Amino acid sequence: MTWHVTQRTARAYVDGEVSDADAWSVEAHLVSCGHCRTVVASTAGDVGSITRDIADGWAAVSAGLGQQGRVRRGSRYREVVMLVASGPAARWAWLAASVVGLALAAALDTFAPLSGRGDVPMLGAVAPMVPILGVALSYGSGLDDAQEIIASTPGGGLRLLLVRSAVVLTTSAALGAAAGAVSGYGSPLPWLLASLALTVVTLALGSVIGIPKAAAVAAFSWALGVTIATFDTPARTTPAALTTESVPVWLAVAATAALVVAVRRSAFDRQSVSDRPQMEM
Amino acid sequence: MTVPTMIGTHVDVRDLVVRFGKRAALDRLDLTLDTGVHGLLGPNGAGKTTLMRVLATVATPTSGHVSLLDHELGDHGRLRQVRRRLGYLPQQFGYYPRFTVREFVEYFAWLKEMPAAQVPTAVDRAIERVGLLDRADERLKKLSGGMLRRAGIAQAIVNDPDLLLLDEPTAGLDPEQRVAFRELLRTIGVDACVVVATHLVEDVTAACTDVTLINDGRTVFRGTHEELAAAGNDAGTGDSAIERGYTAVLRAARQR
Repeated sequence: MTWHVTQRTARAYVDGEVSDADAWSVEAHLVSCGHCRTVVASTAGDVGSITRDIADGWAAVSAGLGQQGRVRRGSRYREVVMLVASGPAARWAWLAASVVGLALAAALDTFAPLSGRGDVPMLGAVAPMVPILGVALSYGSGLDDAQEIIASTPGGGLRLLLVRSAVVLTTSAALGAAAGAVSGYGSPLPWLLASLALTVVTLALGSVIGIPKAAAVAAFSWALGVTIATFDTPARTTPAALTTESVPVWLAVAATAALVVAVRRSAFDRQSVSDRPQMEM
Repeated sequence: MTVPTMIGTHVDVRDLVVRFGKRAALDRLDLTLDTGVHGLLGPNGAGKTTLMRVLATVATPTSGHVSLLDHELGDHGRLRQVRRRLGYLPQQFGYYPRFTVREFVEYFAWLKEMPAAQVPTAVDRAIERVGLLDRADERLKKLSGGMLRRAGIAQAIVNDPDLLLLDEPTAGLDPEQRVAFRELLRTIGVDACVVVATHLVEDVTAACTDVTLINDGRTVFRGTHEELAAAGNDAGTGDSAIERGYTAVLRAARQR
């Protein structure tokens, strides 16, 4: 910008006292110069008739517009809210089933505890399966109503899977921790980490065989492992997977699985739709 | 947007084969499309929907070459680039009944990874273009079939796609809405590639710059709707010239 509208020219322009040629050049300049727009606007602000004209103009324009409705500002936060708010209707069934399952486990621990040489915590055995089931229902299961459109979007792959898995994990952890607090369960750390590790393993395995199958494998292996550890020995002991010693192992498993997910991320590009051929009509 | 965002071929499909088990839904199909509104006609089971799903990057081809918006679909990064510039309305699409129209369209704007600052304006513009702005805050479960279809069209166009795929978009629209919709298609088709799969020949006559007829997974005709009508001059049955052309071309294809 080589020149600016002087205070004097601005005044003359606002009062309508400049020549046509000068007015044109001022207007052409205003189009590209924010600074001078401010100068001219503040000069015009002193003139009562112009302020009134502008106010009337706005009133007329806004009277002609419809209701704006509930428009939300676009932000990263809003994006996460929307991705979390969407999801298969089955999540309510999952939530209900989880609450019932965890409550039953906690009740068993309290009123009819399985114990021998150590405690066998039912809550710890059940809790890690809750998020696995949740992840299976929320992605690639064919239960998401809008999956056909989602599958054609760039964000419908790994990104949506991670958002939904995070929601599922947080919810299950909160439910499990609440059940544990009520029933007087010891440190929740082992089963929390087991939940995390098994969920990430589900995602990693899901990159090869699909999330629903991977979830079935992970949940079944966990159930089998815990059952064998509990009932195999004549004197029942707490399964090693649920003791504090297992913490570093679960962390290592989770980290390795996360690495696998990162490496194989492109496998989720075409997974959000179940493989069944669509009916053609 | 009036600035062309790409130069080159929007859709380039060669030798495309898609199999479900032993049945080939698409059998060595060739198709090249550029800007404009392209009609995709064919009898039920001809492979229209399968082709649309391949173009929407939803279905994976068994073999063949598919290049969209000048990108091969091989790797993760390119697929993502293409998907950001894609709009897709499936024949039957599910929705979240508790979402409002605005939330539904906004959801897909986010999934299409649009810049955050553009999302609210783009969402309202898309809803306005399909004439649903007065119902924008209504929940989807309260809308009629035609309105749902229009909400679906709004999510497809929210990112100003360079490739817009609409599978039976006029199903459930009344005649007046259909006219408005064709007008919208013509506007979008000026600088984008719009593919409309339909079985309604009058949609093709009114809004499409050219017609591709597919039968048994193969392209059997490609040309303007006048050319299709001309193909039915001596043979073919139907009430209008284009219907006669349609049946004549199909009959000839089946005899081959």
